[in-house]
Amino acid sequence: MTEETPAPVPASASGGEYEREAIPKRSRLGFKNFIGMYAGEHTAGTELMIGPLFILAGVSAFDVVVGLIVGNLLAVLSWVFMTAPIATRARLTLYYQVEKIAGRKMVVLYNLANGIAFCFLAGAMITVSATAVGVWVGFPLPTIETWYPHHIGWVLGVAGVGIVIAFVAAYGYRFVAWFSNVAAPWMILIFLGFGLVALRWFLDESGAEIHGAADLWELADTAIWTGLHVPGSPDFSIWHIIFFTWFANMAMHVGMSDLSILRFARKTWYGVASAAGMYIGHFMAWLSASMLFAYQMYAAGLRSEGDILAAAELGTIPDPLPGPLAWQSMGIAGLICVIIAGWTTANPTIYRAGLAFQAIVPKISRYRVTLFTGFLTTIIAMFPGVTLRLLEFVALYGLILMPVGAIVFIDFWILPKLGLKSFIAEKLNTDFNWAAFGAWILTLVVCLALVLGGNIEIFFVSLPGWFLAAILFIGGSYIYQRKSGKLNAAD
Amino acid sequence: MPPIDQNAGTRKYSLMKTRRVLQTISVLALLCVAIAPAIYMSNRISLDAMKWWLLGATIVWFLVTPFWMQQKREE
Repeated sequence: MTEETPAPVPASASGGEYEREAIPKRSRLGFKNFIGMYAGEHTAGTELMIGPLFILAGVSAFDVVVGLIVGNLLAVLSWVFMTAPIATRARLTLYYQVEKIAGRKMVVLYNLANGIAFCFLAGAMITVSATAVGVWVGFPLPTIETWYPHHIGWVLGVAGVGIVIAFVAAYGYRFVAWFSNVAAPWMILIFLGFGLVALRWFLDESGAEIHGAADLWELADTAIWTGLHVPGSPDFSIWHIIFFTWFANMAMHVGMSDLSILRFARKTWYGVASAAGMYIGHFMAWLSASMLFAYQMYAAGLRSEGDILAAAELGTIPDPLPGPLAWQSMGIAGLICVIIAGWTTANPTIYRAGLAFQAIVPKISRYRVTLFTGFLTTIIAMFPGVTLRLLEFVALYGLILMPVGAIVFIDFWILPKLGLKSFIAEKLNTDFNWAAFGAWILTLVVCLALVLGGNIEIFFVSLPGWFLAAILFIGGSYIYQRKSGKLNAAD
Repeated sequence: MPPIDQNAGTRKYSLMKTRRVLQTISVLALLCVAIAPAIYMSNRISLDAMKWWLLGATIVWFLVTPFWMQQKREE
């Protein structure tokens, strides 16, 4: 996911270079750089969690396959047509662009929101890694109903994993970035292997034989993705899958966070490189991980709605924990994959969260802030409920950062056409643009009120939310720039 | 004027050759990671055998790949 998941970026893009200037021609990167980066970044530890959660959400074969194809396509198109065109024209980081539009104070708030969201995301990745360490070391793992730290062994296990990751993020970020490049091709194949092993198990358990695509589809539809929903989990239709998949990385494409990456691209069309991440990490890996868990459900005899309801009442639904699933299917190599997938993606996430927080308190060293961030993340990781609610959290994460992307988009393309100024905060030399801040906060208030009021599910609210943020920002900018006479001041 | 290293060309050739060998081993290990589950899926080896193949290939991959990937990075 992830990434939903922030991961290793080109060394030159990871900070310290061109933070407050456009990327010069000599520093631009070729297409292959982006293919590798996106493929590695979106094959993360959390993919092993999202796949099983799809099964709990009762996805059917047609819904999950078509939903993932369409949702990922929409995500790629968002990168190509929304993020990349601005990135390759302005060639600035998101932070610098937001500072120019909305002022320094908005960047501080954005950093705070981003940093907290990164902490939760990295926490989920540490939880995933800890489930594999737990299989190895033997401490008790949480169940599907565990929300809080349930056992001292679990707390110590997560603390061990988290502290190691925190120190490495603070002191050895570049080593992990390089190591994750080494691990990426191997990890992708192990993810594929999860699916192949699960398929064999289904064939053995069901007695089905595959002679062609029709047989395979029959098995997928009747045994793997049966559409049986487990009570207590969100109930997914094809629309849920499309929107969840599209918006799983909303902060990065529509939210414009990847301006910081794609500003290095020589051509605008390099945005299509995101397809490597989407169709490997968010298609193949999600399907593979979901097949492993689907088999656990199938082998436990949960093959009808009645079976599942009865098991839910008895509390005997299998636990969707990546560690044990990987151990059963691929042995030690599977466990190593889960640990590395969680570790290599949690590290840059903690590192970036540290950078975001450090921008708020620049007097404290990055090492100290990153260590503090790592410890905070470790405490979050001790609560398995956060990871078990990953589908909702990923949607919330995108929603929180999405309005800022809408503001950047409108400022770049629409305001000049309306006779208003882009980068108004820079032109007025102000550190606060209430039109941008108001658009962000009001959009969040309205969207969250709609979700909490039960009017719309969190997976769908971001789309109308984007248009709301856009309209609010246009209206706010009109008043801010014209009515207050600031337009002339900017000239 | 610095002394001319007459063996520099030979050393560079030898380094390139070593790197090619290491890359070939990495590719073989990766092929093994890809093929073992596929063979298991077609019911030709046991689950345990597949796990051992995967572990072996994993060890080889992580022992060998860092050398040539690091070399490339340093270059």
